Parts: sequence; C-alpha cells; structure tokens
Amino acid sequence: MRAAELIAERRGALRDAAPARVTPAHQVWLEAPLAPAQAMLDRLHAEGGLPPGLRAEVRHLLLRAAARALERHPWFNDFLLLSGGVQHNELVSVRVSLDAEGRPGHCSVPDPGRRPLVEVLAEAAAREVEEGVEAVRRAVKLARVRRSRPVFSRLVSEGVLEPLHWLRDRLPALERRLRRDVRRHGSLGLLDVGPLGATGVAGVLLACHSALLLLAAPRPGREAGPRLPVGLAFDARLFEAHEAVAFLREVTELLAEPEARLA
Amino acid sequence: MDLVERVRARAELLRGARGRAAPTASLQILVRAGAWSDPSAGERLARLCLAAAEALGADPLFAARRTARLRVQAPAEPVLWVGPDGGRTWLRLGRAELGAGCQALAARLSAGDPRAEATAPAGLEILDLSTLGALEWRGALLGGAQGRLCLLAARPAPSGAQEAFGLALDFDAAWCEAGRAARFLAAVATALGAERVGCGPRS
Repeated sequence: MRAAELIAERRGALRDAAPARVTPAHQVWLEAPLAPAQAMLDRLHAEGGLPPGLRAEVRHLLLRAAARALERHPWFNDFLLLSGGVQHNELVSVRVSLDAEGRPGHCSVPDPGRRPLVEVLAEAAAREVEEGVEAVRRAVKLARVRRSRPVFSRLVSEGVLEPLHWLRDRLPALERRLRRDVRRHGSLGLLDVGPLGATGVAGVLLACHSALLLLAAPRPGREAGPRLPVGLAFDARLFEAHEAVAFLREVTELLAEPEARLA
Repeated sequence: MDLVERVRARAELLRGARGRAAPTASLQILVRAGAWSDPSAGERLARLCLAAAEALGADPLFAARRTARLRVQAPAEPVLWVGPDGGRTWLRLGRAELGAGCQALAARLSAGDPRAEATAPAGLEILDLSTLGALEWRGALLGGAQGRLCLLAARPAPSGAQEAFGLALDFDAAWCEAGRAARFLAAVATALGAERVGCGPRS
C-alpha cells in the first residue's frame, strides 16, 4: 500500500472512530507471578483439554480473572455514554483487542466468569483467529467504501446534503446502537502488548471502553521466575485510583492462584 | 452505597466541570529510601508532604491551578491536597498543618478527612498508592491542576539490594517542560534525604 493511500485510510478511520474529546485516563500497574498461570496452562495442554491446533495464552486466563474480579467490582463494567450518562452493564463480556496484520480489531468472549474454564479458553483462542481474519476483511471493505467519499463531499459543497443535520438526526440512533452494543459485549477491554515485546504501554482509552486491562511482556522479578506486569487504564471521571488498584490487586491475586480460584 | 446510587452519583459528578483534562505528561523516578526509610507508612507520607512543600518553595508552579487556557493562578502559600490510602479520603494541608511537625502531620494523615468536593483551591495533589502495592502510575490532571505527585510501592533497586520507592509526577505539559518536572522531582528527593537510583520503573 502506498503512503498516500495509507494516510487517507487512517484519516478516514480516525474520523469515524475518534471520540469528540480525549478521555482523561489514569493508568496503574501491578505485577503478578507468571509461573502459576503458565503451569496451569501447560497442564491443560498436556491433558489435551483444548481442541487441537488451539493454544491458550495467559491473556485468555486473564479474561477469567477479570470476569471474577468484576463480580466484586462491578462498576468497571460501566460505560460512559455520549450524553454524559453512565450505562451499567449486567452481563460480563470482555473484549480482546486484536492486531490483525496491522489493522485494529477486537473479539468478545461472553460470560468468561461462570462457564467451564476450558470452554472459555478454547473460545477465546478460536475467536482471536476468526476475528483476526474478519478484521482484515472488514478493513478492505471499508477502504472500498471510502473511495466513494468524494461524491458525498461534492454533494455537501453544493448544498444538496447538510452534514450537521445528518449528524443531529442520527446521534440518538448512534447512542442507542452503542448502548445495545455495550449490553451485548460489555465494556471492559483487554490489550496485550506482550507478544510484541513491549514492557508497557501508555496512551488513552479507546472510545468504547471505560476501563482497559493492559498486559505487557514479563520482566525479571525479585522471586524466582519472571513477573507479569498487569495494568489498568481507566476513565478518571468514572473511577478513583484506589478503586482501580483494588480491582487490579484482585486480578493479580487470582492469577497468582489459578488452580484454586480460576478453575 | 449500592451500585445504582453509585452510578447515579457518578453521572451527576460528570455533569459538573470535572471532565476536561489538561495535556498531562508523567515522569517517574526511583528513590532509595535512605534517611527517609521508616516503618510507618503514615510518617513516610508525612515526610514526603514536607519535602514537597519545601520543593514548592523553589518552584511553586506545581501548586498552581489553571483558571483559563492562558491563565494560571498561583497560591499565596504552599497548599497540598493529600490522599492517603489511594485517595479514598483527601486532606488539605496549608502552612499551619505543614508547620506542626512530622509526627503531628502523620497522625493527621492517619485520621483521614473526606475531601470537600465544592471547594477547588490551588494546590499540589499527593496521592499515596504505596500501601496498595501499585508499581507504576500515569495520571491525567483534571480541574486545572498543574501537578500530582504519586508515591508508589517499594521495589528492588536495579543497582542494589535495598528497596527503592517509585515517585511519579503528573504535570501539565502545556505549562511545564519535562526538565522542570525532573528538577522538581530531584528537589523532592533531595529534601527527603533519599538517593535517586534511576528514572522510570526499569532503568
């Protein structure tokens, strides 16, 4: 892809996806021991609990831990609406951010807290593969649609279409759709930058999340074996720092004892 | 407070003027405890407050508050907003409280005092996340604040056996460059009598 095409595509994506204002996000990091989680996954693979060809990773186990932690801290499933209101989400469903050949995407794993663990791990691993392929397909389709944009721009400049009226008329529908999407998919997200070798990530929250769990590459720890940095980026208007740390502590404690608390 | 009440209270809060964030940058250093090392978390935080107040004497910008895009209001005297235990409660410390001494301040911080939401005076925010085990922090400044100092949990220093604490400073990048923030952090560490052992969590 040529640079000009790439820039045009990115600009289009930003226009569609960027929120009106940047979310004021705080970010806090703790560390969890990696060995217990890895040992549990190795055991599950050795027992053949997962379908052949699927490989469960620590981030899939983190889905379970996040869902269990949400039972005690349910407000991290809340979602800030465009109108300024807060939508509470009863269903727990964690979104995993995907990087499909450089194109952003996500997959959702519904109810990872209560279902059998093997089922959750298998679904998470399978969905990542499926949604990665789908994300590429969607991106190609979007690029094709964007090529027709100049026609609409000309109609706007000639006064045939009025974009502000279009937005005003459609904003309630957009919010309704967002609300429905949040009810269906949940609002807690998970971003794992460990496979890319990153030891941390800094930035803002995505438009669709009130809180985003972050996972980085393991670091050498004070005890034997590496430690897994687990972070939480959260909307500073919705949550306080001590609430975020309490939620994150719960997640790291669950990851430290996976056999007893996550199985 | 049950969940429904909590969500409703949050929605009410968001309708207020708290939402707009400053362009915030963060800087984090590790300081080896040294003379600052103390078994009591309250006393450690009290000493940090006194050190921050001393550093504010040299550079009061971090205690200022932005009242408009191009206007910053400096406080008449050093004022700190301290949130022990992760900011569950907030305490205002003025000249009188800071002058009372370390022991009295530690006792006051342990007692706690809910922050009054209605008032938003200028001041440096000091957030203690060390007792909760947080290792890294990056915050956004809201309500025109110019600085927030965050005390993080102890971790092994890269160059020695003695544990080192993390100190993170969130600052308004529109008004303060990174060098100035670094100098302020260095001044806090010097006032604490602590030794800087690195910049960032893994240097």
